[in-house]
Amino acid sequence: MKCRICYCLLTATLSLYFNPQLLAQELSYSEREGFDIAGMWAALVLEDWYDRVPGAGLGSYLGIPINDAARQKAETWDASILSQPERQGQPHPAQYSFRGPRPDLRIDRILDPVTDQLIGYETNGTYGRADRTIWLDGREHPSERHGLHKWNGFSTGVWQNGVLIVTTTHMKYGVYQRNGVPASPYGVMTEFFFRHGEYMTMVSHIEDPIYLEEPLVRSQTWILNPPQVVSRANPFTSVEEVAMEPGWVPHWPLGTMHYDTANELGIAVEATGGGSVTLYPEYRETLRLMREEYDANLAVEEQE
Amino acid sequence: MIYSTKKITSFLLASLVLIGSLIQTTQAQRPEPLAPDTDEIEVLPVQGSIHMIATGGSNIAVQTGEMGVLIVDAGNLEASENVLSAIRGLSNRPLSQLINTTILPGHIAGNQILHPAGIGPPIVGMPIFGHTNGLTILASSDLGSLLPYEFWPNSTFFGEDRTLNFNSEGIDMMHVPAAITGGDIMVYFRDSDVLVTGPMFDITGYPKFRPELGGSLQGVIDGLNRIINITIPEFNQQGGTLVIPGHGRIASESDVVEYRDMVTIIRDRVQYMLDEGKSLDDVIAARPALEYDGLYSGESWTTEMFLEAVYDELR
Repeated sequence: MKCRICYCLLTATLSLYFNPQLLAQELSYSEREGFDIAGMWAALVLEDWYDRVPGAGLGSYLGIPINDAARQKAETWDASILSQPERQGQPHPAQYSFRGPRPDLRIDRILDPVTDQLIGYETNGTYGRADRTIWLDGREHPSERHGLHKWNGFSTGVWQNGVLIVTTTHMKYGVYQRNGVPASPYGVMTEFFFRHGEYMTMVSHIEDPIYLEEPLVRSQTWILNPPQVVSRANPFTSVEEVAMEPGWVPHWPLGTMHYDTANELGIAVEATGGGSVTLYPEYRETLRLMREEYDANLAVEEQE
Repeated sequence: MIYSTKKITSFLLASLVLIGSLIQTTQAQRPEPLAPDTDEIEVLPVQGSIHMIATGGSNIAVQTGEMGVLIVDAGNLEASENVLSAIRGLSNRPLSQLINTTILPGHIAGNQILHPAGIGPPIVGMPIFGHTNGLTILASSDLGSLLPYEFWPNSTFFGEDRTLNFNSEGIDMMHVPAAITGGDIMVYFRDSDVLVTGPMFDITGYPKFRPELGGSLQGVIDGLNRIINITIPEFNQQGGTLVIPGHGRIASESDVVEYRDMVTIIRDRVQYMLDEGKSLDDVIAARPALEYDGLYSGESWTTEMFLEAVYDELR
């Protein structure tokens, strides 16, 4: 037995000695920095749990700097639209797929088959096989005017000051949240991956010229969890859920307003409707006044 | 597994401070379409034997193979020389077939350069396929005066479709009744699995249907539903059949679905307001296309123009 171990060690040492390629191989930046996002990551949904796991309710656009156009789209969005046969196979778009539900991630390295250099990452575990590829080899993004858009967009990454910065373009028309808040195909998403020991946080910064008044900034955190198993699930396929005419497009009438969240929280619907003004601390005073008015109105109603 | 909220929060705050100095984003913007009279072009591989050449007039599909080159649409005249050079860069085989999906000038003006460069029988030259309704419209409208007669479609069909096998690939030319005009067709390359929609699907703007040329909103909606029926995504509602629109980027089925939904929703909203007795001014003031304006409103075909056209058809 001892002899066999010695033989194996000797073989391995000789292999390294006589294979200069393995020894001389240039380490990528991630390896030099000791920073690598490959592995199994369990989502820590300690922030925005309600939005990310059960999903935001109708009319809840809190914390999203949407404009009037986006609000109209969200208010008239009918969840039944996901029953369209041509939508049943949709995964979550890149603008949302790392937000929820959870998701636990498996991040694999993509190695150049000839040089073994790290040229990208592939992420798995997102809803509906919304797998993403992050290229690290400096390739260019597709044509801005005429390139194909995909659910996962086109992502390239670079390391800067110990942070992996991923830029994603060419995303499809998607959502920022699962209650119909629209994301245009012309947005640019920049994601910042930090690793801090066993924790990894990603801060996403999305600019959208069509639907956002200012950049949407959100953060997600994962913890390294090597025993976790995230398999490549089968992609969704279409089935006949309900009988409908071809060309069926469900939507709420123009002017619809969803009061569900406002009523639940006891604040005016203007506060749950999002917009950049609702993002800042100064808005707390407005909220306080709204709550007072709500309580006063409620008291009057109860007296009557 | 042990973790603490405090630890994560402090880490997050430190991280947020750091990224402030790192944000250097690519500019997010809706790309400007190519100008209708520019000579600028862009060449992109699509899949199979198909390339797309984008021009300001229209997108062009080019199928290459041993038998020669087949071209769908010809773009604007100003770009034609560049288009011809680009085709020469893709294949040294003869230009053998030309298909016009419509008779709108942006799609057929380039016939004047591409047709003489092709091969075909004496006098007639390279076949130019199209629908007979288009030929009728050319002959009976002002559009005919914009293009010399010898460059009009010279191999037309009356019925619902016409098929062709070229470069060992089945090609289906399908009439789309009363869409942008009354003479529009789509072209489907079976082996390459690429559908060329013509003007009916223009991802850069609202559909500019032309009632005076036999077009209609309902025809556009029917045509878009037909595209969705033909296209089959490969995986995750993308890939599979790729779509070359009249203008703008290469697309897959889900892009057509978004566009079809947009047109249908606006149609329904305007119809609802009409049923309530609203005037055109009322309809425009209600902004029934607000969420789509940033995506599709253009300088030459504004939201108001589109809503007026929708209103006129539905009333």
